[in-house]
Amino acid sequence: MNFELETASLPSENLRRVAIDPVSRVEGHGKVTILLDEDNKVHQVRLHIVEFRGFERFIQGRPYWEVPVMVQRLCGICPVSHHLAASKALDLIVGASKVTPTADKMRRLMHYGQILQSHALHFFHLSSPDLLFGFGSSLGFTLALVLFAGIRERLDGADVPLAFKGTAIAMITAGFMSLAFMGFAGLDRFQ
Amino acid sequence: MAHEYLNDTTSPSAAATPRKLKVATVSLAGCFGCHMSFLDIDERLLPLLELVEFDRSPLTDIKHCGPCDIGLIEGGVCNAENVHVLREFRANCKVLIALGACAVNGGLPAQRNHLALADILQMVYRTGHGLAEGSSIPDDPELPLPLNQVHPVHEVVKIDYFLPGCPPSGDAIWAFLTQLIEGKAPSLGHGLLHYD
Ligand code: SF4
Repeated sequence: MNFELETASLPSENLRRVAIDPVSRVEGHGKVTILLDEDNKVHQVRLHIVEFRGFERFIQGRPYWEVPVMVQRLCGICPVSHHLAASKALDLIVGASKVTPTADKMRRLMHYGQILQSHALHFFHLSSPDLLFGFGSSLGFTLALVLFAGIRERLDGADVPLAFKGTAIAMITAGFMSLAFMGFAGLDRFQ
Repeated sequence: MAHEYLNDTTSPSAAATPRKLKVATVSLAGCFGCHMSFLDIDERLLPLLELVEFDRSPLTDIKHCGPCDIGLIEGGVCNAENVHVLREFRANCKVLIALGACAVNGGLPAQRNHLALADILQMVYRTGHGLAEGSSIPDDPELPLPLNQVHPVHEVVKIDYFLPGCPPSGDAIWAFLTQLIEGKAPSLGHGLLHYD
């Protein structure tokens, strides 16, 4: 049993519908639809968020301490941010108008960790393919990985201060590399 | 000539190396956590990329799944489009794997199953807190219709392997895939198999 998915009807016969479905390398399930005329002039662009999960409703009635862990599953790319947001909401519910300095520092530390991890992920896995090769290629993904693996190997032999050993220096290098790659960003405009 | 080595027949050339396996992955009603866990195999992605190439996946820009050897499904089935994509994967993938709690049994999104869909939509878009004036339930034809309940993927198509965990660890995914690629029936021991 197969079926066609419904799409919006075209407002005019002269328009052509182009769909980018799904939008890749982002969390969340989206599609973009574009309406073009014969001269490829854009008449309409719409972003559709196609998924509905209902977290807003089904967390209601749960034991309150479950919620920070549940909402992590809103997004596997930034679970910490959702965890912290829910923790802040719980502060209000239990009447903790001020958290202890230790709690505040721990939350900050978690969030910095999330930001660092998220940037590395964004660069190496999600945006490098676009920056390097423009549309339609997963090659860049592979290349960035190869380069990064090479650098990691070199770092193993390098004389890095103890505090920066391991992931820390890898992240710093990642930052430098992403700056370097930014130079490629404009290239495909000249094709 | 400088590039003669390209035609060198004495070197172990492409003919000797086996065909790369094709792998497709998709996130249905999941949170991408399972894909992130897959990327947590880190530098092991390199040896993996020598053995496999990616077809449709959130990591590539390929929009439809072609004939593949391995299909990884993250997330359960919560709307008509999920059903559509899942069937496309089943039709094209020789081995289909339910990756993570959502795919295996619906996971956290299935928490909505004991509620009426209409009530959830009403609350989220019309009666909840902090809504903009005049908010209404989205009903654009481009949006896939939500199903009354969230279903595990095996209720819609046949699934060959189930890899539980929310998410399964990078190590578990790595062990699973390498065993599968070697042609063995994957089996994960204590420590890799968990349900939380
Ligand atoms: S199983 Fe867990 S990590 Fe995987 S998609 Fe579902 S909620 Fe996210």
